[in-house]
Amino acid sequence: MTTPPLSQHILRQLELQPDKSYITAQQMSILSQYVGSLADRIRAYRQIREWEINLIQELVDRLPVEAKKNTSALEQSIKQTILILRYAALGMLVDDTHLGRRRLEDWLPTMVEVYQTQAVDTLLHRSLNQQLPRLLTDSQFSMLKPPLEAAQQLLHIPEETQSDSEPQKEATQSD
Amino acid sequence: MVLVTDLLTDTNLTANYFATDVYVHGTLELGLLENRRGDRLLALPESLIRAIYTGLDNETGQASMLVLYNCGRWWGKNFYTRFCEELTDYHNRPVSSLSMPEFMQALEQCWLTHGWGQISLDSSYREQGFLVLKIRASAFIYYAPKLERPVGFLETGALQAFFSELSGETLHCVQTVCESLGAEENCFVLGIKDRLTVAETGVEQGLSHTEIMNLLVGQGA
Repeated sequence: MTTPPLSQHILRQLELQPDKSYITAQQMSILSQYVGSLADRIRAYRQIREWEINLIQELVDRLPVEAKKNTSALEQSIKQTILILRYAALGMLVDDTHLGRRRLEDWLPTMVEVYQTQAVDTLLHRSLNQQLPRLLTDSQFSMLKPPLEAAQQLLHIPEETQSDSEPQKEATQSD
Repeated sequence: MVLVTDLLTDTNLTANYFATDVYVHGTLELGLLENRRGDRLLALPESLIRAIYTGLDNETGQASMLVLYNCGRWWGKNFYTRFCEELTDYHNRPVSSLSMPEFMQALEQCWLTHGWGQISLDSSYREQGFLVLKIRASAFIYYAPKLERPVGFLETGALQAFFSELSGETLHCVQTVCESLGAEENCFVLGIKDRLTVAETGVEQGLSHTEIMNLLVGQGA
């Protein structure tokens, strides 16, 4: 992937100036790759949209009892998780890795602090990251992963001590 | 038991209302710039800001500082009303139910998205009855005529009116240091008028922000 950090969606990445020249071969290849994967992106997006409520409910039901004690933190954390998933899904659909990051930067960290959601966020997102690969195909998850991770970075979730839930660490193009 | 469906009753999740790329819309062909509610926005070119300063100086001379400060007060008062109206509509609950950090985050993002610079609240002196606001990269200050004193007249008035409305008390505002005089950021202190006289003297003497704050805090002791 050659997407620069904080880029815009796919069509904005192209310089639409036909008076200057044709789109370059490299840009054409990025565009073809995107168009080639578009049907799969739409399928994945539709599935996430349909699963949203059940998926999140399942994550919530699995939380340990003590994590559910602070209701306002739990409710806020659920909303944040849904938001992040929606931004990640849309980011995947339009190939805009940093969509969630751009829109939620500053705001999300403030909410985490105000509602003290970090403990619940950590649990919800760890289990979200485990569930999504089971619901999506490998290619779909690999397209969802970059925008999802970019948005999740705003939560500052501590790394898991056991590495078994994250089989291989891919080189992410964080900036 | 928490049900996700209950949290999604209107499928709308509120987030960062003033996020730049969703807040500002434009139809360049029609020359329109609007916010996300469809209210018209206006872009000010650098030359117009300069012209306002020059024009005011020609027409009113010395009084232009006071004119700008009063314009700022009108702006701040109306801005407060609009700001709260937009936030209330978006969150579907009164602004008073937002926590101070949430309110400030919205204000910071709003300020930034409108191109007025980066504003932040320093509440270290809150217990002593003073609020400090800092603004970086203000265009109004950048293009203001260079004087031997802080030149954020518009902002001084605007912050004074905004925070008076917010707190329900008549506050006064003094700019302690200014980017135009080489400070890293523009600092504004808000408080009851009588207690800020010392700050005005400090500004005239060219003291630093910390020195002025020490004087202010010290006077009550």
